Amino acid sequence: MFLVYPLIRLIVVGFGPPSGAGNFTSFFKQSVDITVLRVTFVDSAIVAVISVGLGAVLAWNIRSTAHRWFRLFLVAVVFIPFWMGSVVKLYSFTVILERLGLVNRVLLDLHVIHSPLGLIYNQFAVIVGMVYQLLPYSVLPLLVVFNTIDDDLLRAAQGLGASRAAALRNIVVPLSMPGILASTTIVYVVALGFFLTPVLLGGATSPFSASLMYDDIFSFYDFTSATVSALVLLAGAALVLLIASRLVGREQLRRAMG
Amino acid sequence: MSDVMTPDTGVEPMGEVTVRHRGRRGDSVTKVIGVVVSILVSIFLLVPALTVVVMSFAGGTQIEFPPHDWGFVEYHRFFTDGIWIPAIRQSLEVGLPVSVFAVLIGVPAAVGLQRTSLPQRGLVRTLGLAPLVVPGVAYAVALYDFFSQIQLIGSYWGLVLADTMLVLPFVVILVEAALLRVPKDLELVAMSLGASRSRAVIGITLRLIRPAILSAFLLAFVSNFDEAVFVNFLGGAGLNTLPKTIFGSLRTGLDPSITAVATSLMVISTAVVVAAFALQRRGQGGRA
Repeated sequence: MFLVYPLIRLIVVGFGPPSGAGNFTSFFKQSVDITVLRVTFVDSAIVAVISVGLGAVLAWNIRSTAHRWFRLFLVAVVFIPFWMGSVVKLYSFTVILERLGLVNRVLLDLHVIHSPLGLIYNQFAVIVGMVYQLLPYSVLPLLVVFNTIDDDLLRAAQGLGASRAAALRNIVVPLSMPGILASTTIVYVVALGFFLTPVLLGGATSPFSASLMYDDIFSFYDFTSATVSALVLLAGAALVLLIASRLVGREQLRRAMG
Repeated sequence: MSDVMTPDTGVEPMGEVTVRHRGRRGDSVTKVIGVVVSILVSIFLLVPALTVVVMSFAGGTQIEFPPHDWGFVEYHRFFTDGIWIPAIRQSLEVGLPVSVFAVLIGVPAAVGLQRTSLPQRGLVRTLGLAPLVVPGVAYAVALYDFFSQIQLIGSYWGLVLADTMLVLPFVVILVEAALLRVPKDLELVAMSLGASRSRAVIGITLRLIRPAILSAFLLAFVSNFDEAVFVNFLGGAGLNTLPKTIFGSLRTGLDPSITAVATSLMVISTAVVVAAFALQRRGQGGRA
């Protein structure tokens, strides 16, 4: 009840004054809002794909490495983003990506670049920051999925002459596809809802829904606009979840939530 | 059979050997790529944490990495600055009731979900887990609308209420997992021996899952301690928890004493999480 009512209220405000459903038409007429929306949805998709791609490699190595210490190391590393405070991670990225931060300094010293790159307060920084925070969300469920795959299948394939890459591609990927899709969906939806990262790493003018909503409420006192953004975001997330649950089933999605 | 094969397969084994050899070389390339990618990702995951820890011991006045001087300046400022300690107190004041409420609501909810055979069970569970997938900002905006309607913005209890809902799924998930390992029959045995139903639930089941409840409490507390989104939207001007204070100081500029705060917190939260997992482990071990 407490969960659902605010969402209903969101709809009421969204379609309420000043102009009812017109709130949406005026929203979709503003090119700024459209840009922001596009950036949010596209960048979250990029984040989801990168996180799940890298996460899959990591999870597979955790599952199949023969070295106990390497596995322990990888598992420990995966938990680091959970372990640092949410805002602190972003502080760290600010220091690292700054004009004279760690990355630029190293690249300058190695003479790879001659003047500092603009790494922060742009979409690049936001994507890097989000991938960092979402990697655990992709690694951990994928690890569960990969653990259900029988080693004998791989051995059989390789025994029949398939290369390791072919065995991975033709056996592991198809078998874990539902899990991979489910993780991608969850990571995508969580990424859509990120607030701190776009605001802190995206800079003052970052074109993300989250920053827009925050500014709408606290700088322009424009509830309606923020509400409309929130509704569009929610609708997008719901749509993605719906498609995904059609594709892979609800149970699979729930499992990907950890 | 091999005796028959050997003479006329002079070429075959050779071919097979070369094929397998090529296969192996390709395999090690695949493997190396996998390991290299994993190591690169690990470095990516490690560096921000190390940066914070290293910087917290910087002694200079400038923010630079790596630092030139070393010292405990930042730790000193952390304790004397006058913003961090009240922020931590505020965080505790919110976090403790939130975790208590989450356990008080979450445990009965988990027991109920486990024991009921109602068909709506799936729906209730999905709704309960929903806060995990509703995009955070959108939800914060929704709550903002709701709270401003009933004038709860900036209210302490309002924030506690919202945060409780946010951590509730963790508690339900953890407790449900623990309940799965408690045989239902134990309650029936207790009742057949004359215990009332509530006494059977409290005396047997809840006692058996006590470690899980405690670890759920700790995890709820730790995750709430880190909550920065809701408090930004709902906290108004008066409620400044630690994450919100860090957020604020990050928006206005880079205050290096954040690194000292962060390092201290990492040590503390590691201790709490390790304790939570140890409890969980012990609970499992006891039943195994």
